[in-house]
Amino acid sequence: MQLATLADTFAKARLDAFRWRYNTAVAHKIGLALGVAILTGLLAQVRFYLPWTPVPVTGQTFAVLMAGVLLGRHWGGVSMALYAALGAFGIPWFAGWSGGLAVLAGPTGGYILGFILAALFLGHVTDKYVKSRNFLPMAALMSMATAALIFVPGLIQLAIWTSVVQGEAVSLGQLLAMGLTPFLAGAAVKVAAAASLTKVVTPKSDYSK
Amino acid sequence: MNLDRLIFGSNILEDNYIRDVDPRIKLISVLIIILATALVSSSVSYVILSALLITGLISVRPGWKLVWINIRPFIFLSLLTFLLHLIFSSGEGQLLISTAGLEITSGGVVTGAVFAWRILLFFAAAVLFNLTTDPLDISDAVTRLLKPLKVFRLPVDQLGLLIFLAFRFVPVISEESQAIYAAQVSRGYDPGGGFIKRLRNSIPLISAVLASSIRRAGHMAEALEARGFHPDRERSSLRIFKIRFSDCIFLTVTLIVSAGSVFLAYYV
Repeated sequence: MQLATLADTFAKARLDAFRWRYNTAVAHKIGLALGVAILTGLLAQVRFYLPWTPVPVTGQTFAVLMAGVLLGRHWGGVSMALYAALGAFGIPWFAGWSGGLAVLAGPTGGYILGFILAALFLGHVTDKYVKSRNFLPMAALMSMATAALIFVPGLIQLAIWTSVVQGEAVSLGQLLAMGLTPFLAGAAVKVAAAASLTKVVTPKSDYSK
Repeated sequence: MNLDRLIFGSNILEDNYIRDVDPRIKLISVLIIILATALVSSSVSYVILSALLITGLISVRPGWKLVWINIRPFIFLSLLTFLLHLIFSSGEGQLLISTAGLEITSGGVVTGAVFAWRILLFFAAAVLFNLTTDPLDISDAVTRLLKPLKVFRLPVDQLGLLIFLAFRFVPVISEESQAIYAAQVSRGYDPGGGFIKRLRNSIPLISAVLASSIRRAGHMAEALEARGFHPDRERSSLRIFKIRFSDCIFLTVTLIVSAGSVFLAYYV
């Protein structure tokens, strides 16, 4: 009985929180977007290792996926744009305490630009479609966003960077080995975690009214 | 929702991302995926295309029963393709079984599996499209996409109306044939046992359904004329389609994944 009331309180609290977030003033939203950008910067420094691969998993893309869910339409993308822009101006909050325009123009810049697209897409979908806030659809949407909106721009810029800046054309196999396959396992873990968190924190009714 | 029978356009899923994508974009995307599937026959690209379609299907939450009902008619076709390739594909690879003039090789198994998979991919794309698109939207999309053909004096608007009427009539006629069947059974109609007998016995059903369809079509024509419909005049539409940013993302994702899968097939 007590557990049921607790769950009810939680459901009401999250509905109220999202309703507030949806209807609040633009200044608040900018503040929230900045907060999420800072959170992304912090999570980008968190790294842990999966037992079967030497490539570290960083919290960065997890933060990107959650930025869309938490900030909703437009504003998830805005927070990631803030993250990219402020990082380009020199705040060292990209992965490995790096920053500056060089990172954005460098081999990994495409992924950071992809973050904006992914957060825009996920924010749009979570805000608008109530059913998408459940685990399976959200996991499917997040995998789609990670694969097509983060990895693809990332790989394109990586390919351009290696061929233009380093002056050596890489084959597709090498490119995938550099920029895709090491990250797949980590991406799957992050998508699962982000989709579970989404299921827990998002209200299961429309908060836009 | 009628879940027992598959009636075209009666199970549209609401509240999802793909439902709101512009139908023109959706139609083009489905055609791109089908084209990519038809262009290549390598398992690597099929894995990618399947992943795209499966994530799409999961993200619209159709429920397993609905997916099963939609896919069920095509599983037989897919199995038939597999068997035909298994038996008749010329022997490459290892000889597995050889009985009574039939030779089954490992190459035949692989080819059969790839072709069966291809058929399932075709239909999965079509099912995803049908589950998320209103028949009205489909006919609108077809009309608008065919607009350029007006230059060749193709009656595009009438074609669109034709498609729309066909879509619109499928559930009505299906319902009516059920009613006629029930009526005939109550008068002692017996569908019969064997195939030929069933075929012959179905004449009273078919003629009744046909007669009522023609009557319906006549009513429809009268109703259209009574409302001032003229085939050669410009018609305005209640719904105006606009291509939005999310539509562009949708098309880009399909294009990139399809192109990538075709590219990988020739690369790997």
